[in-house]
Amino acid sequence: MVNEGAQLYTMEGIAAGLIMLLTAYLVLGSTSVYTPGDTHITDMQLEQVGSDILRVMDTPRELTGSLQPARTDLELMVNATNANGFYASYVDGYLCRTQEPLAVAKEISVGCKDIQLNASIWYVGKSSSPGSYLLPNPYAGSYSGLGPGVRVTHWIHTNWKPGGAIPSDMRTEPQELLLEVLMWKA
Amino acid sequence: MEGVNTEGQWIIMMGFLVSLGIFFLAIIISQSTLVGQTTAEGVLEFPKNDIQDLRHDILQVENFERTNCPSGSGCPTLMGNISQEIEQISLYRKSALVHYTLSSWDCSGRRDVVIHYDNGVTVYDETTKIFYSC
Repeated sequence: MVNEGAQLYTMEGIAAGLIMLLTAYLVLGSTSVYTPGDTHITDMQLEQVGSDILRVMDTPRELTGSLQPARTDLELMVNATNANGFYASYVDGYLCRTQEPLAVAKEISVGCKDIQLNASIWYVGKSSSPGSYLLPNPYAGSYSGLGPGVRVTHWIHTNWKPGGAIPSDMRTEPQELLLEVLMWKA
Repeated sequence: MEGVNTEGQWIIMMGFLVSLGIFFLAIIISQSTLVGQTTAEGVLEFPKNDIQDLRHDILQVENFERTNCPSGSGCPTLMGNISQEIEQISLYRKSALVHYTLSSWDCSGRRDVVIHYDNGVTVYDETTKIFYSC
């Protein structure tokens, strides 16, 4: 003679077990928050800092009486192919600034001296094909590091073909140039 | 089922109800992470800096033409070269299809700058109206 008294308890036990398992599955699954690109957050900060620096460098210092924008520092440096001036301004003037207002790089998690950079300029030559030339970095002899790099770019409108050590096939007319700065952690 | 004590039915029912409540809460929590993910992806993928930079340069080009070229005819060869430079370098270095048109420079007091941007993920169009005195 089988005792039929425990059937309801058995069913309840099974139901409760299933409920607990499902609840635990859902709750545990919800705790693994997936943030896309979270390993690149410091890279994104570096990229934003670089982009901001280029934008500040390409801001006119003053407006002339006719409200025409004056030439910007960046445009003057690119026009003269003044690589030393560019790096000095980019690194000492903005990225690693030591006087007030203080360096923008203090807001990112790496020291500014750990950041190395190199810049190049892209143009479209007389043969309608793109070309590029480097703005040689005076610190180029001490490059090191395998850290992830970021690339920031800035369009520059120049009122004439740049002077200095530039490729000969550049058009001798006003043109658009793309300044690319590669930054990485040493 | 005659020997079963039926006094606990309320307890069982309330247990079910509470379990269902926890279910719904857990589903809502798991949905919230999905919402955060799609939002973060949307923000990360939008090329804000590229588009702002491009607009800045194209507006400079527009200003350049008004300052240096005769109204009416403009300087089509130079502006064509500049347009080609922007489109070609964008495609070559930024993996973005860029096309822009400036309405004719004719002293009408108004110009439209239409920019089309497409990097394969984001397609972006904008029209900027520029008012000037001639």
